Amino acid sequence: MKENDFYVGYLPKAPRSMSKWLKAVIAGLLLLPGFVALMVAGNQHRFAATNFEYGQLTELTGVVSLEPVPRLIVEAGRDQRGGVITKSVLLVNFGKSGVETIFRNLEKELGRPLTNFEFNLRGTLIYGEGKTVFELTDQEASVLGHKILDKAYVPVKTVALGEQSFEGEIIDPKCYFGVMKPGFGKVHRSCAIRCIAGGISPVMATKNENGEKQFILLLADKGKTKWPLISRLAGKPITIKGELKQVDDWLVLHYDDQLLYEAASFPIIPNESDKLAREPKLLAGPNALDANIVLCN
Amino acid sequence: MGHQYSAVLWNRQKKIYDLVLLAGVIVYLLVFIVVSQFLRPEITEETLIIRATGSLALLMLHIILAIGPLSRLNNRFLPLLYNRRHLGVSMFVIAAVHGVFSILQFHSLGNANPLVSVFSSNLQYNSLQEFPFQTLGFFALIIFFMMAATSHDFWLANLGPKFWKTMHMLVYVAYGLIIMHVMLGIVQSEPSVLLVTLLGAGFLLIAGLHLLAGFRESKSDVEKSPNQRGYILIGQVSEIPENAAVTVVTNGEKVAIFKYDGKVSAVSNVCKHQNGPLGEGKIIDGCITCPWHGYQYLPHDGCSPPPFTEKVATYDIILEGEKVYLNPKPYPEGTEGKPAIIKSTLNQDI
Repeated sequence: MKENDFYVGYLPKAPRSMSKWLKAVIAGLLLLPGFVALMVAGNQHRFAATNFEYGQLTELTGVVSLEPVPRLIVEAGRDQRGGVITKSVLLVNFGKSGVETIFRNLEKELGRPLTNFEFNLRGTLIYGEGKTVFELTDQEASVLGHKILDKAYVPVKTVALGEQSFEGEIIDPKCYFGVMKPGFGKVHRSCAIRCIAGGISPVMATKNENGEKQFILLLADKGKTKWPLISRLAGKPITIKGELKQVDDWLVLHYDDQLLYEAASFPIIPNESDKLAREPKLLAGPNALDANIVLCN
Repeated sequence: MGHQYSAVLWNRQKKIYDLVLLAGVIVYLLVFIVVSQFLRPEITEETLIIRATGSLALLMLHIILAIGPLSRLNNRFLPLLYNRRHLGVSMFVIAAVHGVFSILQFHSLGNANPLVSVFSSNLQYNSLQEFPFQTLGFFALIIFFMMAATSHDFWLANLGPKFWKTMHMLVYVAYGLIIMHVMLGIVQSEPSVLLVTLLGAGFLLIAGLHLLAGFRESKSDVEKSPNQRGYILIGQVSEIPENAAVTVVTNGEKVAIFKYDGKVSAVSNVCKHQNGPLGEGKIIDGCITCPWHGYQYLPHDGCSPPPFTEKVATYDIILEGEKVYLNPKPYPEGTEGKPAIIKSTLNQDI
């Protein structure tokens, strides 16, 4: 070490040779963050052009149906013969939860099936990739009003399309269609698991034979999704086989639980919450959080 | 060495250090935000915050880990070591923003406690490919918190230098966890040659610098055995630089032999503050001054000047003509010994 190269911070001034050296090091240290930030930020993959109108509340009017999943059927226009063109807007709750409880309770209060009413809802729009999701931001208070219809709503179109197999990823539609970017893949996986376990309807994101994106609602064979169980398959490549149906403007796949888990590339060991899902009588157990979702179903 | 503790003992160097640190943080965040908004305008604010803070914390961690070996290899990096704890605490704060935002984004407002959800959402702990990478970042953040919370001389004095140093060595465990967190998280989710290259280069730099510093130190740490009379020949007195030291390893301990004011004294090489190498220090104002943080000891008795209370072990030095001999038996810490006087000891009989 040179005589002049010794310096500790509390000394009044660094030796000149060291001072010059330090200035060069500091300049480098200030260039380094800029360079690394440029590289890392510029290297990010493209995000989907989806939207979440956070902070902007919108009112929508339509018929609420809980079949096959909670949705609001709104009028999207008229065809050439003057017939009504409808669009299904998937309904989700604030946070990572579904809306089924809200509407089941409402149905009990009204004493008639929900499809006998037209509802006025206020919430936040989420949309992209040709699909629309509506978040009931104020939860129960998002239902502003309702009026009785002359006749109950029936699905415009229900077509059985036979047994089919799809390869893709299970996503939660709330995040995928706008709330999060990216709303799929491994980084988002735990969020998708939490959203689906919380009652948001699982959707398969796949591609059709033309390579175009295709979204399919997933329902278990008996018509009821076991939320905690299927949620664990979210955010990873998977193949699902089942009976495909077209219900209005959504494809719905009724899958066989057992086949799905056999198709998974890893063993799924049902944990306590899954057992509870099968045995609703045991709902007071330690995993009541997951189990409550089953109650809601 | 503070007798009374204050949050920060500010001085000019620390202020400059922190200003440069702040400027670096601002430059990184600004460039990241501007480039992201320009190239990826669809990005959400949450994703922007999570990615900007996560990558910045990782860059800062690399700088923190590089400073140590760089200072060992070249003394001119020592001013970067002097105030490294501010860099460490800042890195923790930025990493905490990343961690908290990630937990809020991915785990809050669900049907489970967010902290429970971190560990229970993805349960594929038996698969490397599907491993829940967020848990790795969580444990690294806990280590960074422990380090940041105890990053003050108050804790160093109360926990003891040995325990404190061992605990802070956990930074290497945290570094390993973070590398895996990134590899099994964003790199796996958005495969990128550039990210892997940057991460690999960072890892090689840190590992290489540590190996190089260790190799150089091991070369100079050759153990010397005493002669028949129980003394170790250090060398010629002229080989010891004025107001500085040479070092020798004996009985597994490193000893620093200082020449100053026509005298030669020997003390343990290990500073009581953070195990800094006293032998690489200088005599300033009559005191051995540690190069890392400037802790001081009187060369003849190994005591810090009053009111400070740190003490290091001292050794006997004997001169035989130009030859310097060390008695490898240490005196208890802070024991006053007679320094060997140059010239007047020429005829001393060993």
